[in-house]
Amino acid sequence: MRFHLRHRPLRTAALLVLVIGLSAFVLLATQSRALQPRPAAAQQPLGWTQGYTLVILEEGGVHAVNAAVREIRSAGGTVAVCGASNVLLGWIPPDRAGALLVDHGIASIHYAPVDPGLVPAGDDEAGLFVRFFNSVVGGEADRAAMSPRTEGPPLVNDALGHGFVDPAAVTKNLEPLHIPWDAEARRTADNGGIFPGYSDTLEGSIALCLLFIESNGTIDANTYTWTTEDRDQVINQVMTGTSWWSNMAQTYGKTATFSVYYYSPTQAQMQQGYEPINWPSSSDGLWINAVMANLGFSSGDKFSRVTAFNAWLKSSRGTQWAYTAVICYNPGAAPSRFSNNYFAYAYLGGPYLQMLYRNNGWSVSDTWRVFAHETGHIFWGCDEYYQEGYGGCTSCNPCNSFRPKPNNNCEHPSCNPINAVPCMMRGNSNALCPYSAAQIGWDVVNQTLILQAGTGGTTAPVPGTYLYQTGTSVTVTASPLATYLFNNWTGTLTSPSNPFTFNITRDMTLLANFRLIEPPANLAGTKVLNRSLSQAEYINVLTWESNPNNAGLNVVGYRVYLVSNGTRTLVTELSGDTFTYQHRGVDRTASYDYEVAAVLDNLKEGRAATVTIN
Amino acid sequence: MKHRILIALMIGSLALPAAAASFGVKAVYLMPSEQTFKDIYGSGLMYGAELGFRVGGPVKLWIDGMYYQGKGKLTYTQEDTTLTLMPIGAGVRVELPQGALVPYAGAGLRYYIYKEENVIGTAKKNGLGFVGFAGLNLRLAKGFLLDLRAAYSSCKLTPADFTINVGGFELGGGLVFEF
Repeated sequence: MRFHLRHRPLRTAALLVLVIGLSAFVLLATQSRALQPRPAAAQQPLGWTQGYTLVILEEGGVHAVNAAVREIRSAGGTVAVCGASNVLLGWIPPDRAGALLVDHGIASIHYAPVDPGLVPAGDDEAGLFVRFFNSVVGGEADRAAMSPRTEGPPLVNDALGHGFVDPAAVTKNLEPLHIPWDAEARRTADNGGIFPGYSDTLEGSIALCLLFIESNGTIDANTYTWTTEDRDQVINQVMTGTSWWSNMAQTYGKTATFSVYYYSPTQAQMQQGYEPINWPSSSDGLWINAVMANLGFSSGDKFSRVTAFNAWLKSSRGTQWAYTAVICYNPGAAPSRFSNNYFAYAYLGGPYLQMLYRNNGWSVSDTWRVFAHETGHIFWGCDEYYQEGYGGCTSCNPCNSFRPKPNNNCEHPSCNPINAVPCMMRGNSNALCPYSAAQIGWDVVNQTLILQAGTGGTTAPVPGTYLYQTGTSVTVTASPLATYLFNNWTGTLTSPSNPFTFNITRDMTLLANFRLIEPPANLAGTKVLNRSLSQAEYINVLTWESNPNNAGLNVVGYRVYLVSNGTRTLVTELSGDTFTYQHRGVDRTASYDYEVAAVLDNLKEGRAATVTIN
Repeated sequence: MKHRILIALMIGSLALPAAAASFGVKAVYLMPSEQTFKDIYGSGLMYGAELGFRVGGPVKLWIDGMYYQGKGKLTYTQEDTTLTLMPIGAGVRVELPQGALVPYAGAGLRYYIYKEENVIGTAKKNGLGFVGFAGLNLRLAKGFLLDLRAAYSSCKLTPADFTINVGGFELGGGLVFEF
């Protein structure tokens, strides 16, 4: 990298890059020392598998595919995944299928498993797409998602600073290919900027290239060699992840179509001398530079080479965006992490993500979650993971200055540690929170909800400021502390309901009000002698009155506790119209501490009144 | 020592000639001397029977057995409590006949069987006390006498938590058959 620090903006940009780079270095050194797996999220069907559609074109090729994608989109359908072959995957409403089959180059549309013989036997990509489709509509993908499984450790510190490029190197890489470098990207790069890039917004058409790295033994021993079966597993997982993102885009009113390409490990360009799994991830430039050189991108560092590759990808595939996934092989006998404990990471805003065949505790059938999470970073999505002692997000603040959106679902204690919104960027969950959506450029109109809790309780989500897409159905729950009762919501809306569900249509403030269940009034106690002619017992007699401040509450009983050495023992529970209790047979000389609390019809217990009887 | 005297008197009475014997049934109104007794059980009737044996001149030995049951309430909770007393006594008395009237006075020992039951528990205790009495027999017909008497008894027991006096003043009477 060369720096030309002639101008103040240039120096500022360079400083920013240095800070980002240094942060990335520090993070690389600290990630995943011994992160433990977390409990598996609730298993649920994938959702996007409903209505999944296979489209077979009359002919393949980028132009035919892109034309079909446009036709399908204009007919109300969505293509989630396509490639260079004549097979497309997505969702087409059945009532639109008939129209599409007329004169649009579409040979057939399928909603049920098809005979793989429909595509030429030698078309590796088409065959993969068809087999993937069959597994989805055959329920295999949902069954895998529903099956008991172990989730891997959190992906903390996996979002690395944006890779800075050397404009001259990128240009040099692209010139022989006669590929124009995006003018705006070139201009900002020339001026030391890092934006825009090739993965600014996860929307529209996105080219994705999978590089299956293979060692050839020229430098390191060739320890592990990809099998076709394992390669296909990864491609299936990538198609699951891209289908998930495409489906998620629809729920936010967006369209995202992934053009997925891959270089198989058997192809010469993927052959290089290093066995990556035996190296630290921070040395990924060794194999990335090598395969990039094999692909014809040999100038500059890994960022410049992959950026140029993405430019070529975008141009040659006719997409709006492009990014690269570098996938290294580590079969069962190999470690599940690089030697520095990293296993999956991505550079914020691109240009590439790196992952393994087996990702440190994440099952291969959950690789799509790892891939989807890293893809979120590629498009500037922030991490919402936090693990004490390891890192992750550290506040609700934006994680980058490219698209500085709040990160209110960050699980850092200072932000939202408990009441998480399920999100791919937080727990690799099968959901996307509005914060991540805003970060990846889905310019949804967000409304602010300021959630507050009065004395005596909290809320779920926890009190704070939240963003919701306009019209979103929001459910908030008030959780009273012990001895308190939820009273009502006040603020922009007023409601006695709990949980309270409403559609957010404007900026709102909601305050959860709680009411103390007051202790019984005038609690008194005395020790009395109860005797016959020759026998005697002592009785602690407690008396109290109904607390007038509990008017309107249905007090159905009173609980009497005996407190001894800090331990509270329930002595009796009395009806709500009883205002005295005799604790018989007590020691004449001992001192007794009592607590009496009202109990409501919902079994909620109020604050206790106390009395000591000596 | 009291036990031995009582037993000797009882055995001695049984050994005397039957010609100078008497048998009577009686009922007395017990007015306890212990205030707590009065508070809980009040005053009440005590029933019993008595055997007398003349041992010479105006002196008679006597043995009797009485039964008392009182029902009351505990002092605070006002729950039911039951007291059962069975005093068994023996002693001597001196009679001074004046025609149809036979005034007498005597004393003796009483062995009290005590039982009190209530929710607090059951207390049982036996103990020895004394009794002193004076009375008047009125001869109604040959061999039948009306007995009027007053007595004072005392017996201190500690069945459970308190030491109590189960005796008191007794006013009552009965019918006596001489044979």
